Amino acid sequence: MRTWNDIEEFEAFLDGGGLVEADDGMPDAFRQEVFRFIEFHANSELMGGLTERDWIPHSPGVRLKQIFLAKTQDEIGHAHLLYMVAADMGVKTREQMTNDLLEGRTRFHNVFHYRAETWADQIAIAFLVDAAAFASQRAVFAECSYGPYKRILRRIVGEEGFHMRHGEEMVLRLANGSETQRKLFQDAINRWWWPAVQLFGPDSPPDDPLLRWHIKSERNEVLRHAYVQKYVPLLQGYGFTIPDDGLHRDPDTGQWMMSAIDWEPLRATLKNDGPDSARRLANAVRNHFETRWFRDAIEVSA
Amino acid sequence: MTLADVAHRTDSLIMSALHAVMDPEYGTVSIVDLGIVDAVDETAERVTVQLLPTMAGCPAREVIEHDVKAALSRVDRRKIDVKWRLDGSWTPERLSHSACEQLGREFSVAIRHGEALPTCPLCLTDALREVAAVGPTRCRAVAWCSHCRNVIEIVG
Repeated sequence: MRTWNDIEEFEAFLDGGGLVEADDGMPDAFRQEVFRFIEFHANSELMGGLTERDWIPHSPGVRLKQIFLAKTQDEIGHAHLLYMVAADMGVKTREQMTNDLLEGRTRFHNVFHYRAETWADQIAIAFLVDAAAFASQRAVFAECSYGPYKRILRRIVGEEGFHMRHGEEMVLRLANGSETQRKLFQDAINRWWWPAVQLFGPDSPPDDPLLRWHIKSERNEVLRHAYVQKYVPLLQGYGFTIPDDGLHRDPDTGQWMMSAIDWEPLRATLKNDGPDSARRLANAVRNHFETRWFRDAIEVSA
Repeated sequence: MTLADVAHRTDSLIMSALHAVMDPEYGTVSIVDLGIVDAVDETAERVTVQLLPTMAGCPAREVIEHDVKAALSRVDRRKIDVKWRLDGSWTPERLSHSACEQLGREFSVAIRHGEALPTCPLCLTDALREVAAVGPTRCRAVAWCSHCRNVIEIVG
């Protein structure tokens, strides 16, 4: 166990690339910040996994069913690992985290507050949303000053990278499909482009403790901009359009520039007041109830 | 033909191309080191690579197959065939020494041989406790190290 005399000494340790371990005497503000971040990540994996599970029976064909089964297992498994690390930090128990999520007191990613209306939405999510989540997680892994979180992120990032290849495979199928398929996917892009871009969050505040304490490595707006540079030409290359009338290339830098982002939809999701928040939470509560027998059985057999 | 024989008998270009194919999830570990490449057979017209998944239902099979074909087509003009052996005979003994070392150090993944729980790959104590028989993937169990307080996954 290591201790630091004051926050300056602790910050110098972090600036020097130091990794904080579970039994270190870390400052409480750091513990709270890391905990809150991991809890949000865990909640998002769980809510994402539950959504993907709902689409397993609707997957067209055995191959896609297998992909969705594997993805669901990944997300739920990731949530499990993350909740273990979070609970060990001693801020909240696993049960408190579960109750806070199911009773709407904590947050999860904005993208899981919208409804996937068609199968094409699931593909847009796999292609656009998973890529945004991957970019954002990779930027956390690049620094991540809390050791136990960094170690599970190594595996999580690897698995999410694999999901992206599935997303690309599925998009290629639709892009090379019939007019109806292409129309379905364009409609899905229209629904998911803005939530995916907003997943990175508003511009990071100048004194963001997540950056100062090397919990993440990059500012939100930098990640968002890099994402847009990659996905605009990719989607346009497949012949799809981006639902942004103001989208243009800066004549000097050649960079893709978006219209000003309306952050109101994001703010609504942070209050669990998005278009599909209530149904998603009710779904998670029902799932928790329906799977209780399994957790009980495991406890008895352990 | 075993892999040891393969390494001697097949064109070294083919073996080095296979060595460069990384597992889709452990992006820095070669499929050869993971013991997934079971045999390579060559005729004048074709190269047949026999692969052995860690689990028959492994969702990464298509991606691995695609990557193997792509890697070999770059170094060999013959037809490339990939066949999967689905008899479930992959065991952790097939992992190379460097793969075991890398899985432990880089991915916090421990390797179980036999029934007993392995030592923690991070702090090297016997403080692992199995928490769940499967985790994010079906080929790994989830464990908790009560000594260094890290989540470890177990292969085997």
